[in-house]
Amino acid sequence: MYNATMIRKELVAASVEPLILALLAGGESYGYAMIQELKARSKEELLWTDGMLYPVLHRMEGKGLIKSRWRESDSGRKRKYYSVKEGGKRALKAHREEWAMIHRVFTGLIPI
Amino acid sequence: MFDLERTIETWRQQMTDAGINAPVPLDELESHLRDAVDEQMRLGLSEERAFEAASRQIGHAGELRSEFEKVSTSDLPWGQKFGDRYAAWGFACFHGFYVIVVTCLLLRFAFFSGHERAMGFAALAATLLAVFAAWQLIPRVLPMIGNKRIESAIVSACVVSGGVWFVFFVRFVLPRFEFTPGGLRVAILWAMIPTMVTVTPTFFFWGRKSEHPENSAIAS
Repeated sequence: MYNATMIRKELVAASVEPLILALLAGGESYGYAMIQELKARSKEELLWTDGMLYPVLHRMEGKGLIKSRWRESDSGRKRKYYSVKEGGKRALKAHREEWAMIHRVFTGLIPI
Repeated sequence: MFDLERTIETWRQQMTDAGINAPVPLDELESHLRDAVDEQMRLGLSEERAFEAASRQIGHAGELRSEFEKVSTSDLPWGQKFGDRYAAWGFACFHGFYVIVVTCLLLRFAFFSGHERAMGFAALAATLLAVFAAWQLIPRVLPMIGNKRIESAIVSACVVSGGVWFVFFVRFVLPRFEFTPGGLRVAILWAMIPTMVTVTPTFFFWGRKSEHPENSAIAS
């Protein structure tokens, strides 16, 4: 059975940025919620080390792909919310085309 | 008796001791830790067990520091814009050398009148401003293309167009005017602006490296 531990680090690393952009394309979110959503959507097959998400988010913010703001949640806890900037939307579109192309070629060669 | 607040305080101190001392990432990590503790408790763990599980999920302080260090290095303008410090130094040396040569030229030779000298320095300042603007803009535009071949074609086209412009200027524009020796050199300095700007993407392209290894630590 294929599981998360079998996904190579390089592939996980390559997919982090597009996945974050895709998660944020649905609306602003914060780190913990993003990890939970990814877990749920991948049926816990794609797992990130929680803390390591933040350096990636900060790097993406530095690159102008996303922006952040602190705000108080309904529970009263202060959280840093991230949202996609225009640059991030363009990057997501480029990622989507790349991944779709790879998927198309791969499944054409070896039907899944 | 387990005290969650005191334990989080200790955890925060451990993170600080490990070198994660900027308030923003630490506050963000703490907010994450608290969310994770709440979730674990909702699943039925005791406060103490929930904290242990949550702090384990967040990761080891040393590894986190190492990842944040990579970000703070790339947050430096040179690092962020060019991806690689060697390329940034190359870029700085290239333009530094240009500034030194032009400054020496303008100060040393007597054939520059006061006005020409001022215009020469104005050209130098305009060159640096234009290069700085390109340095700010290119890293935002170029990575969005997402296709290495198109990127390299754009970079090549920039360099070639910069060279073509300069040759065109020297060959066809300059002969149409009569210049004093100082005026001629000042005109060339102004004409150098587009050429110097078109060199910038080359350094950016040279300095770019795969970003995937940077994100590899996130893999569980």
